[in-house]
Amino acid sequence: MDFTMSAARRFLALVCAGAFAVSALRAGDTSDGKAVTTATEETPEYTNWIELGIGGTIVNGDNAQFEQEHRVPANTAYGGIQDLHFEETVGKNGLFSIDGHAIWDTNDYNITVQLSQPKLGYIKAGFTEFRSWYDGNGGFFPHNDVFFSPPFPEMHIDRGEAWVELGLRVPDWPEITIRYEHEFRQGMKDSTVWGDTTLTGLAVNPTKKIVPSFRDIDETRDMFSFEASKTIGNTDVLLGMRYEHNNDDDSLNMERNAGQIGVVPSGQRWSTQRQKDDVDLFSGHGITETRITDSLWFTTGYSYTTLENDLSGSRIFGPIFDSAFGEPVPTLAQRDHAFIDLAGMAQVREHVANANLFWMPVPSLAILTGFRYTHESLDTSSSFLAEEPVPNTPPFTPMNPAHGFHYGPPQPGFGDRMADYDRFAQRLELRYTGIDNWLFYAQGEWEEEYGQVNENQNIDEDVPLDKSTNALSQKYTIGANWYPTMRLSLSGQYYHQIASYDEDIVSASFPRLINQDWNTDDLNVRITFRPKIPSCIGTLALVTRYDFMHTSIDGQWEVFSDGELLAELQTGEIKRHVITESINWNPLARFYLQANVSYTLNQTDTPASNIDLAPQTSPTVVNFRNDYWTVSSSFGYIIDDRTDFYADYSFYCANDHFKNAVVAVPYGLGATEHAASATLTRQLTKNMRLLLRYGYFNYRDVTSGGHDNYRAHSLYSGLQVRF
Amino acid sequence: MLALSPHSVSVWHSRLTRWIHGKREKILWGVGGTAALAVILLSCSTTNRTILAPPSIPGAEFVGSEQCATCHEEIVRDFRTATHARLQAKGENAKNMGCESCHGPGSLHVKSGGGAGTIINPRKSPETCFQCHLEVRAQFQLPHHHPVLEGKMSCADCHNPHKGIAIKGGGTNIQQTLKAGGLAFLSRNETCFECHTSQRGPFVYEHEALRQGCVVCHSPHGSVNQRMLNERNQTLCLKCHFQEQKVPGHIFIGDVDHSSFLQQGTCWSAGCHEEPHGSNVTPLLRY
Repeated sequence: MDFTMSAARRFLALVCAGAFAVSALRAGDTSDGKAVTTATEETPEYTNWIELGIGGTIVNGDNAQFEQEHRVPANTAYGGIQDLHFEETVGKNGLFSIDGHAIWDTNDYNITVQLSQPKLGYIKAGFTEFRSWYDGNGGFFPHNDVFFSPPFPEMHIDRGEAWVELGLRVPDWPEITIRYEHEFRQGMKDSTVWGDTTLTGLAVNPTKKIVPSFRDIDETRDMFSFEASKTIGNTDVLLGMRYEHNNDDDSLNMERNAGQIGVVPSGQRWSTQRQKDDVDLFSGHGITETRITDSLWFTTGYSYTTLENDLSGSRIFGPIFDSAFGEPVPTLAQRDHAFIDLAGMAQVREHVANANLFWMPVPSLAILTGFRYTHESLDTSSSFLAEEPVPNTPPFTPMNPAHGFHYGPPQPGFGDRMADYDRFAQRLELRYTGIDNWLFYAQGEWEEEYGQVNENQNIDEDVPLDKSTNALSQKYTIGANWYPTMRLSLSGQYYHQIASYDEDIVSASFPRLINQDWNTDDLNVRITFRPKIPSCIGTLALVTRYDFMHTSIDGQWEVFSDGELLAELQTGEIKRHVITESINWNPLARFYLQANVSYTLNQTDTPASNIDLAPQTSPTVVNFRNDYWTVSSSFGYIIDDRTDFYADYSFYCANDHFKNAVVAVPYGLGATEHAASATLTRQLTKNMRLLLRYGYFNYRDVTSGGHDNYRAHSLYSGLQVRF
Repeated sequence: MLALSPHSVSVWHSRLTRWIHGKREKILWGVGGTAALAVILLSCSTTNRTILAPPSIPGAEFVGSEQCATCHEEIVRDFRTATHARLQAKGENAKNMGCESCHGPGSLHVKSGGGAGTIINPRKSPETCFQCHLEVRAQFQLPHHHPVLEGKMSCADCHNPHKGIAIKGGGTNIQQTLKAGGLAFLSRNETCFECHTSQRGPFVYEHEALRQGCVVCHSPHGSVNQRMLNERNQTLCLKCHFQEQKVPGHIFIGDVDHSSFLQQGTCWSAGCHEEPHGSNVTPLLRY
């Protein structure tokens, strides 16, 4: 499908937007989605409003990348009702209201209709839908500038829901709420499970997995819930149930050995893996909350949930996506494992019991404790026909080439898994406010999980897996908030978390990670300061925040085939520093300036980064950097009694691209983005306001070799009418 | 008088066109900036209006949380159990740390009897939350993020601002509101599974990392990486799955030499371990 826009269409989009702006307007959101606070005094005599808007974009470069990041269509005009609120009294005390918006060409709809009557109840219904765009591009291999155009450059998924809710609120009766909701999620999106090619020009190990793939998504979910609550004495009692049914029919579509046409074996071919889930969930729960005194509350709860999945699916290689199994594939490769006729079930049953206590023994001390027990049992099984490639035999033909492969007789595959987990979670928190303008808190959280897992299957492992698991998580937090003056506040928090996972394995075939420890230290400090400055330069507010996190991961493996216990070692280390600053300055009553700046230093290390894979002389797996800068700023200015001017600028920069193309596929993002917008609003009449906005966007991406780059302009105008 | 031949006109036109195309961006910025500056400098009119940076409610004043309790009694009562109650100290300097520190001054809201548009609703804009959680704002600005800035989700979809522990799911959390209505006791990942149903399965073979939580691999607020991954290369998996190596120049994972595979791409590339959330066919999560 050709998504390129003609010059005439671009012109039309701009003319539409511009013309509409001249005739009227005011709209809701800025280009980056932030709500603009208008400086106009509210006119309380108008309780209803409608905002109409129209806009358009012109994009040069990767349209899909622009759409993905900014959630508006490229080179298209769009518009509609940006915001609507209407309310009207019904009868003596009843209220009817409509809220929402509806923007075409972005598939952005949200409408809620409500009718309520005090001392009786309400009925409300709504519909919501929005679109997310996805860039179909895969990877870029800088050696020889290898890049494969995606089969669908611009993809999107529409997610939405329609619902109706009935609430009964009759005095002295239980409060009853009944709700039905239908959700859907449909469309296509990219995947990071990239396909392979050998056309990289490398003499050694030329195969690189950079070929774009995509997912086809078709999911629906229906939910019905019922709740009744009643206060009996000083106890609130709530009973409820929920039923869900969801159908997922998703597929992952990949191109293998892209560009290698006619190569036998392992030439260009396509695979589609389809997964269908038919899930039923039922949950029932009861909750009580007793306020024994104003300073002593006790909460209990119990819930039971059962989840059953009837699953099916297939994985088929063919001459096109979504081929039927059995079509000749002359390019089939030896490792093109496929399966058909997958059928199975997965069942989860979960019991949760919960108790919480809130106690203030003295007004300056609050004690919060909690306990939760969860029992979870899983019972799963599946069967399928495994299709394994076998060498072709004479007579050879173009569809049965020499040295090629075809699928041999199907092998029945099966597997099942049973697991039981008992989990105990406890919490104790103390808050102390006995010193004026100080609050201290300390919290301990503990969670233990004991599990028993039995697994059988005939494809990967010869020996059934029989193991018991033991997980223990401890988290200790301390913190304080201090308000030394009305203009200054300081907050600090530190926690240390230890998470240990141990497995006691009775039998297994493959090597197993038998124990692992995560140790995390996390600190954050925040200073909020509103310095007293000369009135001639207005008011100023500053917020500074620093976050630090360090995680160390240690693990140990056991190889069961020869009974070898490998050494315990540090497998990963994560460090993160984030410094952020926010400035809010009102130098004049008619002018404000806001700026937020952040810098993040983030790196994940593994010992693999110290290994040069023979015969290479540089590491293939590099420590992964996630460093970036962000800036967002805005200012607003009152031009005259009716006119305001706003401007926004945001910036993002990551310089983490690591060019190790000879020994690996380079990852890590090297990208810069600038986005700026200017907005003019004018109060045309007492109840009518006009808005005109221009936006500019510039994105440069080294990692994609420039294939994700774009430069874009947007124009938007809107009209708000209050009535 | 200078005479211009058709040829020289054509050359100059061509040069001018090239120059404009080459400098188009700078020209655009220059014209736009000059126009904006001119608007500001030339506006000499007087006005008694005041402009405030968002989030704010023009014309409103602080009234205190007691006023809020008149209509929102249950929320004010239960707030004592909330993580955010840690902001509420006693003393004169901390007296404004109540409902209005997040919802803005409430005088207009009280005066209008709860009229629409008279109070800040953080469900409609996350700016309130970003006033303290500055680092989260930065994460939402990254190329891959949940659509909170765009208004398709709100912070409250995953967090409890008013009651109990702020992070929904797991732990000792008391009942939590669900996306499609009602209450439940959410398990650790259920907050994510409310929208991402296909990752919930349940699968015949689960990836046990999910028992530690989705956040082991994903940054829910935003990431520089696609799919909001914490790491985009093989370190995402190797930070847990690395093992003691005994053969120089090779990397063994699960006692299998992965040296050539690692040079081809990530662990979850085509033909390798394509189903990191769980598989119904193979415990090695290959497909």
